[in-house]
Amino acid sequence: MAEKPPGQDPAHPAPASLPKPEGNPALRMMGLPRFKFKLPSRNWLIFWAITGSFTSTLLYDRHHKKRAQRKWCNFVSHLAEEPVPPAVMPRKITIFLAAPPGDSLRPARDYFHEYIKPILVAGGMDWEVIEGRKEGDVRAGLAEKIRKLRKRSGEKPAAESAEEPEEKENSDDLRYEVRKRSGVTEWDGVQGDLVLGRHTWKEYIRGLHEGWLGPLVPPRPAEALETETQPLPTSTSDTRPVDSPPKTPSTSEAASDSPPQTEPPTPDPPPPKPAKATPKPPYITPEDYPTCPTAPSLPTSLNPSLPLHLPHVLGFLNTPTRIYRFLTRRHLADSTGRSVAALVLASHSRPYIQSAEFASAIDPDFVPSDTNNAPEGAVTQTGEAWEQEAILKEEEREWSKTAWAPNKEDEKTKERPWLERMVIDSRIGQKMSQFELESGAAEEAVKVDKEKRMQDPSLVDRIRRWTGFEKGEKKGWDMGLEGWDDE
Amino acid sequence: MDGLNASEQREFQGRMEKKQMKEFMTMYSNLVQRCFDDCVNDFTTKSLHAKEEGCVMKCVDKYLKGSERLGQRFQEQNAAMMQSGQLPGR
Amino acid sequence: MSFLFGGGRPQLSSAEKIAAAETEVEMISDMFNRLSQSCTKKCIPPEYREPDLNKGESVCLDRCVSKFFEVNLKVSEKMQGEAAQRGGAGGGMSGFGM
Repeated sequence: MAEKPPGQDPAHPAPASLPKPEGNPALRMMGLPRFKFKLPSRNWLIFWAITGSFTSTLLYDRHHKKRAQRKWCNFVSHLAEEPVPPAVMPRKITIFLAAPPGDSLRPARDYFHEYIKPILVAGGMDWEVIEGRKEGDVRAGLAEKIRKLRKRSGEKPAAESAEEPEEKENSDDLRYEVRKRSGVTEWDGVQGDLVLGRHTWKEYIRGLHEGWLGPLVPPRPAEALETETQPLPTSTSDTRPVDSPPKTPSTSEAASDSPPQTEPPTPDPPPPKPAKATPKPPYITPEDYPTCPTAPSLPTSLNPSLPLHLPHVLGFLNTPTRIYRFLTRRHLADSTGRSVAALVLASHSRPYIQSAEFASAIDPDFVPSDTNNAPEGAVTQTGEAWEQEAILKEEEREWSKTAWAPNKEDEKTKERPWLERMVIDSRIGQKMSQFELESGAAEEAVKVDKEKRMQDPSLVDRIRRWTGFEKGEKKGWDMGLEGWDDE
Repeated sequence: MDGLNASEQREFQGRMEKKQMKEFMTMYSNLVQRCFDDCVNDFTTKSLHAKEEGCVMKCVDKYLKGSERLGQRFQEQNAAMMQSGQLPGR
Repeated sequence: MSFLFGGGRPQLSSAEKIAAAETEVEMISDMFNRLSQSCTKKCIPPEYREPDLNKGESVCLDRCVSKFFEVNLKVSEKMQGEAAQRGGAGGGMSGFGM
């Protein structure tokens, strides 16, 4: 082994000075240097542990998120393969998006693109989006849409229609006309509404009521003058975005003379706002619902809806919650996917119900911070409540504080549908229904997904199958062993 | 064609018919080329297989239906565009 | 298809009028041909499993047309801007875009 250093006395070997044979002898014979394995320093350990665990959690989550989404896409993809005659439009659903309280429209849009759109596309759906940047936009948009629908189905506005300025046809109407002439038919079947978030849901309910119970033309300015003692220009609601800027001076006058007016008005038709993009003022208010006649063209059942949870928290102190959600998006993708699949398949929907348990679910001592608006107790104080009122109630806890702030002095009459209690008229409430997946659909989805992945496996699928994590098709040797076992 | 009188109209009609014929021929050859490219990839035999033939039939059907649909949408869009006054190229 | 005949045009001979109308029709049909070529190429996969359009393809075609028009509009706006910047008159560019 170790050679003696030359020039040493053989009788007195110096064992201490000899290098001790260490390490793998084979490596040593090959002339490789001695590897020394030791742990990195404490700080490096901490760094790698944190970075590594975060990264791996993230990768794991994203992988499973993708799988969950693919699962639900596969579950509905057979719909996109159905033949459709060339003169029939595909099924079109309506998406309601509104900027979450205290934030911009972006999170809602991102959520839609990330979690909802892929499944709609996989199911071969067409959709239109009603977006709301401000409180009330969605309500106005939906009400307008319903009124248009009512006019198309032949309803004539009431007597005051003479005052209504000539409505300008937009490209949408024109397209509708061209389609009608060339014999293109709409999809016959359920259409469906998708509502994102509790705040949008509240506006959606209002919009439904306003559209179906309200008048076809905006309330007369004379009435508005009586209640508001403020000038309400006739044409405001029809051509608002165009003509609002020149109107600014007149409305600022109105604002300046509003202080002398004594009682702060209940949220009856709020006057037109001077700001450039305020929603149309509502034609009717929740207090008017019981006295309003139903529209003659009100169908026996309204479009089924799908209220979806929009997770959205703001604030530095909520960072842990946000990190947790960031790392567990797979669950969100799965639950959203399931709901959207129910809407896409549209095989089943059930009406909303009215029962006492929802009344208790709605916080009994919930008081809107803006005490001016007090439509609560107007209709539903019977101990029973509509299911619609309790839907997504838990989201309200996460709304940022700014959402609850009372109206500022200069915009006292701004509508606050998010804060006020929902009012549901039974004529509308009974006709609403909710999309639901049939029981067993989840298992079915897993099965379908597995079949699809069998046909077209991804790299990860191949690895899983190869390493035996997932049972693929029987391999030759499996068969052989089974046969051998039987004998 | 508001700017044309009767004789001009007639003349115009005649030209349009010729043009339509030409359009039709172009479409036909496009269709042949497309379906040939998509369906026929095997040149070990001289005549079409049953499979290739089926593919061609479906291709033609699909293409015609697609054109119909496109035509409808095109009309709608065109009408909308003219109405809104935002004409292309103006 | 009367949009080429804007108000206040000088009187044209009938041959010119017909030629103008013809150009217009030609532009539109050319646009349709291009549109139909690219949209079928992009939306209809080259496996022909059934003779009917399916839902996915139909939706794709619908959206394709509307996007095509939008692109058309955007490009023509942009080019008009350029032309206006360059010469002001832009008379030479009037027929372009369709």
